[in-house]
Amino acid sequence: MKARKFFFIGFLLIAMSSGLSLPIATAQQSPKDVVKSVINSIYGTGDISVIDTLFAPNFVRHPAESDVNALKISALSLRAAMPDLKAASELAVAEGQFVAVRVLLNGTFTGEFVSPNALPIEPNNKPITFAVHLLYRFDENGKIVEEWDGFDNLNFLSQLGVLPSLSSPPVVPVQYPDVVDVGMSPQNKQVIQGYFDAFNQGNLGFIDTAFKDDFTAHNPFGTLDRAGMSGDLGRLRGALPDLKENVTQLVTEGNWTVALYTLQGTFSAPYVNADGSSVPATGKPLSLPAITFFRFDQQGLVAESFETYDSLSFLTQLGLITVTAPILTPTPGA
Amino acid sequence: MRSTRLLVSVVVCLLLLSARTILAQAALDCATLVSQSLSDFGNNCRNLQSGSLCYGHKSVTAQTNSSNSGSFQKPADQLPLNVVESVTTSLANTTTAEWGLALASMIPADSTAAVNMLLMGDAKLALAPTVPTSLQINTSFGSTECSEAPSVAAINTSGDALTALKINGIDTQANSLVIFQQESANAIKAIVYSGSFAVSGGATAQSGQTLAGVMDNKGTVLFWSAPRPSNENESKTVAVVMSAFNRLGFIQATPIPHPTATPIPPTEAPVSGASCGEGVIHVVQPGENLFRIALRYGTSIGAIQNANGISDMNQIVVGQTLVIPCGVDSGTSSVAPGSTGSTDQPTAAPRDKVTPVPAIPTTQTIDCSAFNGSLPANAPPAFQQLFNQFCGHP
Repeated sequence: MKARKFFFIGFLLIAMSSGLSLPIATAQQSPKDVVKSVINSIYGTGDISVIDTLFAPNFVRHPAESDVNALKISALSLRAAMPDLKAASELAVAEGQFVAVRVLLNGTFTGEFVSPNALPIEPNNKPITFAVHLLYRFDENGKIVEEWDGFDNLNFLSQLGVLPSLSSPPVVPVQYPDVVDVGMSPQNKQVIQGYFDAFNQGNLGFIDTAFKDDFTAHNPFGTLDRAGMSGDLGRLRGALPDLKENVTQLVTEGNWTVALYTLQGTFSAPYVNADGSSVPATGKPLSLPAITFFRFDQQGLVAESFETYDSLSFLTQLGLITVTAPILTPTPGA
Repeated sequence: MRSTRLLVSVVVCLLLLSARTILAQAALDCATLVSQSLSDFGNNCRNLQSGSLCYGHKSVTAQTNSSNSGSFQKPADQLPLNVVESVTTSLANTTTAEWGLALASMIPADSTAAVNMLLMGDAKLALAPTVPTSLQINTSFGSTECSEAPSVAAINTSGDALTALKINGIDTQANSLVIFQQESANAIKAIVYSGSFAVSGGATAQSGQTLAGVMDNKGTVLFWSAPRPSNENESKTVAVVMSAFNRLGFIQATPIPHPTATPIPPTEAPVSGASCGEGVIHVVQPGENLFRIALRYGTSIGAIQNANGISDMNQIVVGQTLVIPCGVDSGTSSVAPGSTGSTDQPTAAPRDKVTPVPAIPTTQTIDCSAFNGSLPANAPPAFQQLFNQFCGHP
């Protein structure tokens, strides 16, 4: 599938220590523990009361720019559709007011998936597994005030049976989720900032310098080695020559660094696949947030990455597919 | 020695009696439990006065705000509704012959229309102390040993005027019979048998439609879906509830005027008067399946399959032209009321596949006698079909 090949987006690096300051949450719990507890409460048990106590009144959820009510609806919609839903925070990285977490959600789609005033999606009674990358910011009062979501609607809706399956790979659990601190985290953050800076300057050679020979990238559409990722990034830049990956936030702890960034560019040239076939340019603009977890080895090389973004939004923004699923088209008049 | 023999004889007799009791209890099948319970319910709570709660069938428990509220321990006992904080009925149990049934009736202060609230099976209704029209409904979910005895709460408003009720935290307006049933801790649905049911900030469901709601762990509904056609299982649940209401002497199914809330526009025109026969042709529309088409024309799926050479009932496509003969099919593909069966209802969005219609199990219980031989004339087609199938009326 051409669209799939079109997909592997990259990351870059560089140095920059953030001036983020002290973690503040509760007297008993660190921000990381608060986040893990919140995720288990709202997704794992359906207890949304913690949102009222641990989230700030001015909480904003990105990229939808929605509030706590949207978060409650989102969590309980999942639980209504999958009453046996389990949420495992398999990897958490904290720095200052920020906590990034990769969550594996799995359940059986036995109840209707309901969105406000939209036609329910009938259950298919199949197991559903998906990974979500979340970045939280705490305010000075120790309340969660912002959340950024890295969630792949295409994978999710395909599993619900609403969209045709695009042969998405199964979710890959993080094999080495422990945060190991060997005193390299400031340097690691610089490497990741350098990676993005290099990408934005068109320098993909930086990957060979800063990434391990046996580097592995886990993306929404598959797993790539270092050469594969470089190749895909090169083809992507060929199709979107003005493509930038603008970093909004880096969070680093021990051997993990997490990047929140936005891909922005215009599909102004044909996308040329590795086999020489091509996808014509649509002239459509792209603005797509993504969250990637980078794991470093002890020598300061990038060993592995886990990336999420909404590939459905990616494809629709570029004009490559059109979706008219019930979930996306609320019934009018309600 | 003699006393020993006597003792042994007594023990044997007791054992035999116990065994007989156990056998008698085990012999009570689900259908019998449902039939007997509904009959008792009708006898115990028929003609209930407004402002009262009635113990219909064991077991029912009531929480009251008064220690002098009177006895409420057995079938036919009643309580003034203004002392009741909550009422709970029990799950069907064929061994103990229990299936909790209760009826409450009230007339809201700003209305002349009575509101009748029925609890069935493992269900709970809580009344706000100062606002009697504010209701909290919870039911159990999951399978039970007696699937024909559902756990639901139903609200039946009399008259054509819209009655305002707050249900699980959401303002609603209803002139209808609406059945509430939880699917899980966070999922609830409202099945509308007749009239209309409008939810604040959301959709209006009409007769034969269902709203799916999402609720928090405390039972407060966050939002409702757009209405979809009621499905087969929901139709069966409605049939049981209707049977109860008829036993109680309610004649449900008054023609309902349009609600004040904006209804969801149907995507399929009503088809009253459509009939099968020689020369009748139908072009398949989005959202249709053979079941729906057969129901629309009053014929059978099998007859359409035979006339058009269709071996797989799911293999029809939008735009396909079908000959619509009349005929009755005795096979498994005969018309049954189901999720897409109400022909005067909006259809779901077009799907890639036509939804197969499962056959109704033959163990389904309908208390035919409660309907005096027929359903009200304006009962939704799906329920007419269900009634006809099980009560033998054409």
